[in-house]
Amino acid sequence: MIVENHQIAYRNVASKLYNFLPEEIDIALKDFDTILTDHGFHPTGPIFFTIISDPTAEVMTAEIFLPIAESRFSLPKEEEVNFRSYFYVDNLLSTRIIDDFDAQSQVKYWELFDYMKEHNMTQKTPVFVQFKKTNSNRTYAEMSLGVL
Amino acid sequence: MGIKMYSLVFDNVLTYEVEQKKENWQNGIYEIEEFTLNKDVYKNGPVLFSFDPNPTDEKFGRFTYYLPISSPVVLSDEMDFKFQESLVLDRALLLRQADQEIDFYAAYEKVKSYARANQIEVEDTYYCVLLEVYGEFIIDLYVPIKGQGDE
Repeated sequence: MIVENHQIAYRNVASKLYNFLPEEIDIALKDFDTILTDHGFHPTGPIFFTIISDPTAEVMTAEIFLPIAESRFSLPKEEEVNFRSYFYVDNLLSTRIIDDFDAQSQVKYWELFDYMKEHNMTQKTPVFVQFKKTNSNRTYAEMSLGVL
Repeated sequence: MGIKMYSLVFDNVLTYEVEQKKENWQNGIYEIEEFTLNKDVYKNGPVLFSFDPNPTDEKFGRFTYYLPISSPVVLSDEMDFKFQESLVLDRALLLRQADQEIDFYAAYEKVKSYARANQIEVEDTYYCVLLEVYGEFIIDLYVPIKGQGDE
């Protein structure tokens, strides 16, 4: 199922570009968390990322985003970390992946693009993936795409 | 939510400057939001503006609108829009205003008198972040501490 008008909004969000093999995504996510923690920041999560590269490419390019507790931010330029006090994207098509993430993420990715084309919409953002947890601690992923 | 000390930081912003009547503050929002981006560069934050009051006519002032975007862009010099690598208010007083009617000047006065009472010196230029909630705007107003605004 795809819903329209989804939005992603967080305060104090740091981000960094990563290239990695899709199966090694956890290493990249952990690396970013470590960079921020090592510099004394306190990630509050949830972590999310955009898929910038072609989904069939061997090496994946992604921008990883992580909200932190601090409103004041500075890191040495060579860490190449961006920051914004407010992160906000709206008009997203969105769908959920409950289990079997590896196989389902490919299916859902194309479902978003098919839906966009069927409804004559234009792509405005890359695909966002957000990992979330329910109150009963069940994890799931939300995949969304900004359109107009 | 009272008045608190905060930073305001955005990497990668488009800016648009105009001298206009205070009451026309919404005009620049449409201008900058209509700026067409492509799917590789997208808007990823709320529109904000700074207001620098005109010293001789209080109805007028210089507005600079900012649109946070996902990555740097190169724009030609002739354009009204400019790209700025970052906007940084190192330390500022923040007040959230959720009144029925948008009155950022009244909000600024509130921060100003708070600053006076606490012997804090603030800048004349202030910043309004426009947060859309159910089709209406809430304003987060930032007034930089003297010497700690954007350079």
